[in-house]
Amino acid sequence: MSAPSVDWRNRFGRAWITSVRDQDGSNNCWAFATTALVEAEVRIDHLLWSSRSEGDMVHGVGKQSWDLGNIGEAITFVEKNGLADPDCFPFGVAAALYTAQESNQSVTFLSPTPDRQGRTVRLAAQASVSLTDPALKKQHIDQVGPMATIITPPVDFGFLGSGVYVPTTTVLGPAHALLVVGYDDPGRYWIVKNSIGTGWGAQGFGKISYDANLLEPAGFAGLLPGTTNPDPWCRRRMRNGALIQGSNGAARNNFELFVRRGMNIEHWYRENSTAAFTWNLVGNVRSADPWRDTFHDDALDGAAAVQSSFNRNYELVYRSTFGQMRHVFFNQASGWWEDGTLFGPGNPIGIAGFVQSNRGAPGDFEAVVVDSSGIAHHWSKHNSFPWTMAPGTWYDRGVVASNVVSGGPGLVQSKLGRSGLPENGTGELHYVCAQTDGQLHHYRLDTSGWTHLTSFGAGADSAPCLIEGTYGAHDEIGVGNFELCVAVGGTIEHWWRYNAGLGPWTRSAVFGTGVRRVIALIQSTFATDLEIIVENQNGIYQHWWRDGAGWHPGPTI
Amino acid sequence: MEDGERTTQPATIGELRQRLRSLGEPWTVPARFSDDDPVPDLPPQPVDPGHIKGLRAVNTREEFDAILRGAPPANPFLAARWRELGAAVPGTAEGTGTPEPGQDVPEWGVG
Repeated sequence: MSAPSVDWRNRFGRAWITSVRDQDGSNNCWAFATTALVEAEVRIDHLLWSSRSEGDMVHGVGKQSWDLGNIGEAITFVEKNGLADPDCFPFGVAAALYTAQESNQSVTFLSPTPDRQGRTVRLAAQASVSLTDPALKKQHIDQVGPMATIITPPVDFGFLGSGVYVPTTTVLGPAHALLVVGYDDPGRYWIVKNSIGTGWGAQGFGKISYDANLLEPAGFAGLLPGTTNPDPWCRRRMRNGALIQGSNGAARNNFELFVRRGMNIEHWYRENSTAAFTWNLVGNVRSADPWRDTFHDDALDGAAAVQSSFNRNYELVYRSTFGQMRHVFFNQASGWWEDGTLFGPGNPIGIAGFVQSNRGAPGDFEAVVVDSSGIAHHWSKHNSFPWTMAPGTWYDRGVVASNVVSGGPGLVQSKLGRSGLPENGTGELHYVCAQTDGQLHHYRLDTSGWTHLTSFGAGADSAPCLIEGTYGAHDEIGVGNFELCVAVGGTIEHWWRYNAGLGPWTRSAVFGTGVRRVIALIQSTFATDLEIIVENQNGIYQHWWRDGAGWHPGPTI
Repeated sequence: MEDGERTTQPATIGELRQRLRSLGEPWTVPARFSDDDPVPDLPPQPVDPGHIKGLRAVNTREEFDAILRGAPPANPFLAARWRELGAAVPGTAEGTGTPEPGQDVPEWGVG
């Protein structure tokens, strides 16, 4: 029995639908409706906001802005090729010769960025269904999520403002694709998301009366639960440190953890599709190829991890016996760990702040490394054009802060300072560290360089871990809150900052005992729970997580 | 207005507004359109009723239920909805069970 009314714009107390777009007079409504469908299903499957590109879909299926299309061919394209984000290839009405294959050496402005493979949401085969029975459509919308459809509305449809649409004429206009985000049986209407801007209907959403009989005979396309496989690029702000929520496992959301034991970095994973949630050891981080086995038994401290847009590779940075930070990566194509390079200041301490930033595509690697004098240095490595330094070269970008207690995963590529989508190199880097005065200090890198924003807390004697989560963001564009966990005197403090309003830092919880430092923080797909990995004073690693009832200790690892 | 007049197209937004008033239909035209704006005479592109081409067509509740049984949601709120409907959903929430929809912290407002 389907619910009498469903509205995915606000269901279960949360928003699930991405922002309203504008197809800019093109004939690509079919791509906009299908892209909106993929974005909604990623949000529902993974509680993750994701922005996808209608341009990638239009040109990927071999069409232009003036071409009509079909939701079926669009979904088939995503099943075969994935769907990239607007920074990989944006929507535009200009003609483009395009292939969804990576462009490799022959990069032109008509090609996707070379890292398309690492920044696409993928769909499982047979991910979709087509329904025509209105009762089944409502069942799908209630039990699974929104559906895309194509209808032939009368010519007055484009002028809907407020209210429930009933045609005033039988003269038909062009066929048009929409995303059906809900229905209301008492009011006898469907709720649809259009793609002609926010001036149509109520901020881009409209109500269509059952009496109009427009949607009832139409085919609806839906994606089945658990069929979306999001890329690490859309998760990048929601995690930091040694823990990654990747796309392995039956539910495509396993945890991957990298911890130091002895002089090695160990790779662990947690299978998240089973209720047992057991942690399993994969093995040491070292190459299986004897000719590449150049790094092991050299880790002096824990690793900072990134799952990059290089084909979803794992990238690790850790303090090496060679006196600098070492960068190594897991090549998903070969299945081997490979050596990157040594970089950064001499005599580093602690864990690096390490992210893949918005500059270029693939985005640059950015690291903040603290040396034994307490100076935090910013180092970068270009991964793409424009090359101001030689490819593969890490280079020193100056000092972030002094009197820093230790290095930690406190660096974030924020949405703050971003001008919209595509992000295209905009957005600020933020870094939070503990300094010798016992306070946590918050720094920002904008066009004028690193500046001190504020300080908060007291007694901090370890490096914090920082993420930009989704609390505070109503859609994929909104800026989420900063969330920070830090060990203070053996306990863990959780702090947050309301970024949309540039609010102050607020401490929300103190918990745990015997904790040395926090080495990882993520906002997970488990109802957007916060999850941390701590290193206890006895050297044991432990998992903690927070749901609506507060923080809970998980198992030791 | 006679229902037969629905077979004609209003030429302008002013005529559309007049028609909405006379029919008593429950919607309005945004104020940004002036009464003199034309309602464009667009060539119709009718869609054949029926399934979306290229996708798996499902016609019966039995068939659809069987497909859904093989694809339980990981989303804890949807899983709770499925359980409300009597479906068996594997527990994939952290802790001892799936949180109730209202149990989690709000997604916006507080950290």
